[in-house]
Amino acid sequence: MKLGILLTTDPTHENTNTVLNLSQTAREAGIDVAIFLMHNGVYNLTHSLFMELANAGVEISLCAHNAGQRGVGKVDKVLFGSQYDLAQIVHECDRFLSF
Amino acid sequence: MKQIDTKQVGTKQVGTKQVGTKQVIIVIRHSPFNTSRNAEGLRMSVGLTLKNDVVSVVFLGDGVYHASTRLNPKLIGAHICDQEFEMFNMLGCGLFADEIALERAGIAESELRDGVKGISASEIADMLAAADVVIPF
Repeated sequence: MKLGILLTTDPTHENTNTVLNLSQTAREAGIDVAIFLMHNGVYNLTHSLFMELANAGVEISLCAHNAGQRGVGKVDKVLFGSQYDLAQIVHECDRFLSF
Repeated sequence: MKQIDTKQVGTKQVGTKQVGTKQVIIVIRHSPFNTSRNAEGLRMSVGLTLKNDVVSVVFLGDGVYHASTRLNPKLIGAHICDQEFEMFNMLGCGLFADEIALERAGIAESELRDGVKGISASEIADMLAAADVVIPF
């Protein structure tokens, strides 16, 4: 079972906490989670708890184009990819959620 | 009111979709003004075709302004989405706008961008229910 998540809002939005808790719970239930960040969602890399998700085995990738526009620098364990990576998550996951 | 086959999404039929492909619908629902969100949603929609999934875009609410030829983003230096719409038509992606929202916005069907069709809310609901993935943007 694989859960795909798209996050497009910045860390001040309640979506961040929802995604954090949802992803953590899913991982505890043995569900694979892949998160893609785009638009202002790339700012979530500055959220410390978000990086803990990567350590817990959540695949995190983002739109490098959006990150470049916003001056978000590279971070370990996060794939600075493209819209192709999102297409791949959407194609492969069993459930997909957008925030 | 005209009837369309609500099982038609993009150029392929929901009932006969190719094995391994997904029906993906992106919902553009916000005004295109003062934000780059809509333009990003359309860019994402083009990207989602890269795995050969069947991608359609539905314009709801104030999002219908983005489907209108009356929109002139150049005037305010906003992102021009001509290339995205051109790509949608080249790739056979379905483009749909809510008829009620079009009426509220005062947009006639003749003022819609190439390939965009006005359809009823119930037809949109049927499309969303039949989709594998719905991404509200």
